[in-house]
Amino acid sequence: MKKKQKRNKRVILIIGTIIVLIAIIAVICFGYFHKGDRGFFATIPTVTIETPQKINKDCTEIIDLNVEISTLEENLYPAASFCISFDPSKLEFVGIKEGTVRITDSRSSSGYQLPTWSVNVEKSNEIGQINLMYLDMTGGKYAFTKEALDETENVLFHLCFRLRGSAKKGDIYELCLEDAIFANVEEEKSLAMTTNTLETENGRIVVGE
Amino acid sequence: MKKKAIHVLACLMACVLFLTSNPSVAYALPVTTNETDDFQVVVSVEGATLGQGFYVEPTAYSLDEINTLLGQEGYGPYVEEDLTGALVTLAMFIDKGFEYESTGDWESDFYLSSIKDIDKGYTDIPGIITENGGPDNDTHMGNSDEYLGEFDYNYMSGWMITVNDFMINLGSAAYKLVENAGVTCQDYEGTYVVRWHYTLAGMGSDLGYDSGWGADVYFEHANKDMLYMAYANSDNTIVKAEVLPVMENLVATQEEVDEAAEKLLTAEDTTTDTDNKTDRTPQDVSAVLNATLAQLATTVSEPSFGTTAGEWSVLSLARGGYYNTGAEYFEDYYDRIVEIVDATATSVNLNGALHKTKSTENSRLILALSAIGKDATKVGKWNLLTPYGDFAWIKKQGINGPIFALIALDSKDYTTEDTTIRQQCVDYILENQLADGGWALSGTVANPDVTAMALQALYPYRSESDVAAAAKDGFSCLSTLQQADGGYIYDGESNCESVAQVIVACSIWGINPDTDVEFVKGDTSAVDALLDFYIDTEARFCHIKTGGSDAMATDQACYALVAYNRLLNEKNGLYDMTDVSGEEEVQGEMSAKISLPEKISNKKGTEFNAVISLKGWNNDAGYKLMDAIVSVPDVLTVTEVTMGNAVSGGELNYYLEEDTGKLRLVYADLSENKDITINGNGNVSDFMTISFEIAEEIDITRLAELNISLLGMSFKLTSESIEEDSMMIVDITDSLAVIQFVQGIGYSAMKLYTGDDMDLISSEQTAVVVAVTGIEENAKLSYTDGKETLSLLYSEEFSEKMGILSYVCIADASMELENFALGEHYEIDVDKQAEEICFGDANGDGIVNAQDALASVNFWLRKSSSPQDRDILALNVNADSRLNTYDALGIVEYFVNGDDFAVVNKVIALKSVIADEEETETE
Repeated sequence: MKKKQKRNKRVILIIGTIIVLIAIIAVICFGYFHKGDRGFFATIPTVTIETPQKINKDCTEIIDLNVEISTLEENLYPAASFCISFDPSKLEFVGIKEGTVRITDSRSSSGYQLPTWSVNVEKSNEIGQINLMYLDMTGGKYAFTKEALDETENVLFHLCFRLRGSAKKGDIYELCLEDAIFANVEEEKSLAMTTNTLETENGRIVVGE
Repeated sequence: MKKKAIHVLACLMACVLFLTSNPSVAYALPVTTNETDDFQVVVSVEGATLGQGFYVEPTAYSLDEINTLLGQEGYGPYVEEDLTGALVTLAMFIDKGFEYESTGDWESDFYLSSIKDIDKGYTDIPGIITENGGPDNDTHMGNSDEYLGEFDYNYMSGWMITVNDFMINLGSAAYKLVENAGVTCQDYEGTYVVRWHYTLAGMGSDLGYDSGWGADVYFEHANKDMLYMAYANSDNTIVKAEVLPVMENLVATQEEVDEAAEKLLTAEDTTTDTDNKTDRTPQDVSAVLNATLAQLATTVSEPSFGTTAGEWSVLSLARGGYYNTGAEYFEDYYDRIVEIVDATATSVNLNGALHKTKSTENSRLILALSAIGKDATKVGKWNLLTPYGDFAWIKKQGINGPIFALIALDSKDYTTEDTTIRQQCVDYILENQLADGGWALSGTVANPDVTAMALQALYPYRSESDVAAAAKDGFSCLSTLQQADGGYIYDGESNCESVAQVIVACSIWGINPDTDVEFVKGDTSAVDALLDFYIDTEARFCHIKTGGSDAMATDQACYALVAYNRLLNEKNGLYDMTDVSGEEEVQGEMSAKISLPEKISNKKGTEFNAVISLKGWNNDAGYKLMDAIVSVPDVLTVTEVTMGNAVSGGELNYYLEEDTGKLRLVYADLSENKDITINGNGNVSDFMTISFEIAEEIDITRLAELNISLLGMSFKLTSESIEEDSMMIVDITDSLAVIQFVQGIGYSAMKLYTGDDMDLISSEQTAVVVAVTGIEENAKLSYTDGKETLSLLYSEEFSEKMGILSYVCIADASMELENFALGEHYEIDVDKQAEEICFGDANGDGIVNAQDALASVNFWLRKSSSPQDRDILALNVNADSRLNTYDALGIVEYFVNGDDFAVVNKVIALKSVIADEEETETE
């Protein structure tokens, strides 16, 4: 009798385990299909504008903010663009500096080179929005790839600002990514803010003493 | 067409030769032939009396070509019988981009006073004129401005016109070609030779013509018409060069002229009759060229002074039209060059020389600067032309020196202190021609590169008989040196650069290196051979086929393709930069125009825009204040005035004086006194936009149309400027614009562009803009004419720019534009919204970003399937006839700089077609 009870318990345990396993697999599959080919556990690439330490209100030095990408997927991205808004009455955008994220270049000995971003400093200050674009006119020869990312630091570029005279202690100036995209030839493989396949984290400049 | 014309000419020529041999029946044409249906006009502009030769060599135009050209300025179309001397002249002026001064109207009483920028600046007045009391080279009155016309050089000078060897003594606008053929002038069976001659003395007597003013002719002129016809229809550049001296000789005898004509016709007949010409169709290299240019622009992102990643790349990008003059790319290059020139010239210390022994350093830079519209005589504090006064310096590095000195000096008609330098260079090159007809750096065997470069340099001197003879031998040598694979061997190896130089030489001389029998071996042409060096995965060229891509090979191959492409498109030669608008051009006059929609509804509250455009803007002038007055009819109110996107540096203030109807506008930065700047020099299609609204419903039986015009406009260097030299008074004579009122719904149509089969837009596809007044905003609009049904896309950008609802569609190019202006062809569904088109937005997500720029690149690289109509409309952002990398760059510039797309600015300048019909009443 005890033996029978024991066996029943074991059967129930096995069936329960199977049900739990099926449920787990179902959840994973559901997640997978809802994430397309990116996979359930894949981390969504994120573009982050790094917030620097508090800036002295009398600071005349250039304020340097890293714009970083966490990762990319296993695709070629021959084009990328970013729209970053700021308050031009408080901040003067003075330009960008090269980052560390490179593009492919079979001609170079390393196989990579730094991209040249198009940006208009004057226009950015006029409209309060920095529009940057990189475009590989060969459609893939000089593209962003996951392989080209640095393991430790993935700075796309540095944004350089100066405080305007009206800055005062306690001010916080938001730097917001309004649009961001790493474009693939096949649009469904692109990483874009608009399709939630690219996440963004805004930065800010905080004015201290 | 040309072969046919040659046969006709041959027949005519034979008759003329026969008939002129018997003076009593001279020119008793017509010739009986069944091939004379083709109508053709050959037009020329000549300065033989000044010894300046041709300003426009005889150029042939068909009726269609004339109508197409005239259509650009709103004339025509005309039938053959309606064409006058004046109208064909206007067509030629449009074709050549001439500016001129005249009185009267092209269609009724036109009189040509002067033509701008054609005077060559020297005189070699034929003795026959001086002997008959005319001026000589020392006593003439000279020319005090940039126009050549009446009262220049002599008090009796001016322009005179002959048609079929008859000097017409009434207005050219009244002289109908067909009507007068065989009556007052010769009848050449549908061919007309219209020649504009510059007369110095005797009202045409110095030309050997009796103008009917009673003066005796100075000499008996030869009838050159047959020669002109043969010349205009010949592709044989070598023989053309041989006969040019006869054509430019004012007093050439009839015998000399006939002999020259026969030479041309015989040359054509030989090539035609023996089937010596290849049947090849010139191949289109634009895909390879565009890819190479795009690659150059990307990889040579910061060109500097040097043989690679420097001047040659800049030359290709400029002459290939990849960037326009004034582009940031060129401006940055120029800034770097100014610094380098200053340091180098200071270090060399030889009057602006950039190298003690290599004059080619200066020549190469002069070419690049000329190509981007910069003045090589003023690079910082240095004049790069100064060292060319020393021929010893020029020839120090051997024959390369004089070759490139000539190419550089002739690129923009630069002057040298020693005026004999050019001739010294020519003589040096001729003296160094080898026995085999070619040239080499050393030795006695011709080298293809040096031979080709020598020929490139000699082209401007082709009218000199010794040069023409040398060129004939030179090309013959190049033909002999060509290998079975179409290429050339230098230093034992078939290489890219040699064949590239041959293609440049051929293209400059008007010889098609892809079809000319001399440059096709077997089935392979010189162009085929060059393309064999192309590595398509890199869009670059290799030096030798077994090697990898090479910067020098890519540079030379790229500008060879540019030269060839310019030949196919009938543009100036690679090194003839007289077509480049430079700094001096934009420092001259400025003019303004107002553009309005053609029709608007008469209803109260109807809105529309008036866009003010500028011509001749120059950022370097440093204007700080603009003021303008615009006449505003009292039925309108001004709702808003905005400056164009490209304009910055000021703040706009305006005030409408209601009692006078004057809208006063001031644009300046009164606090920081900044310069007014506009993104780019030259033409500014959207300087300012004034938005109007109709104050009260208008009775169109009393007021059918309105005029809006500029009453005054000026730019000042300071806000207090009153002196004329510190302000620019803008020419507003053409600023009057008219708008027509309609009751109900009105349509007007404009052709935006038609494809040319080159890049993704077929010649059967035309983009049409339809402006509609009197309907609900954004209502769905469909076109149907029984054959075609089209759903039009609403364009908010066009609508905002013109202030009137605007739709676009791609239509069959054969459809009459007028049909798009007829209300009966439209169905309006006010309950449905029209699908919208946003320029640059390929995927229609409402955002223009990198995805859209990449889509443009992908279409062009053919990585995506053929573009649909909507793709074409969205992505052809520069509104040319092609979908290519320029559009991708246009999207980048729009995104980064906030510039309007060219397509949006283009629509302002388009001329609408409006239909004469009863307007339909809106529901």
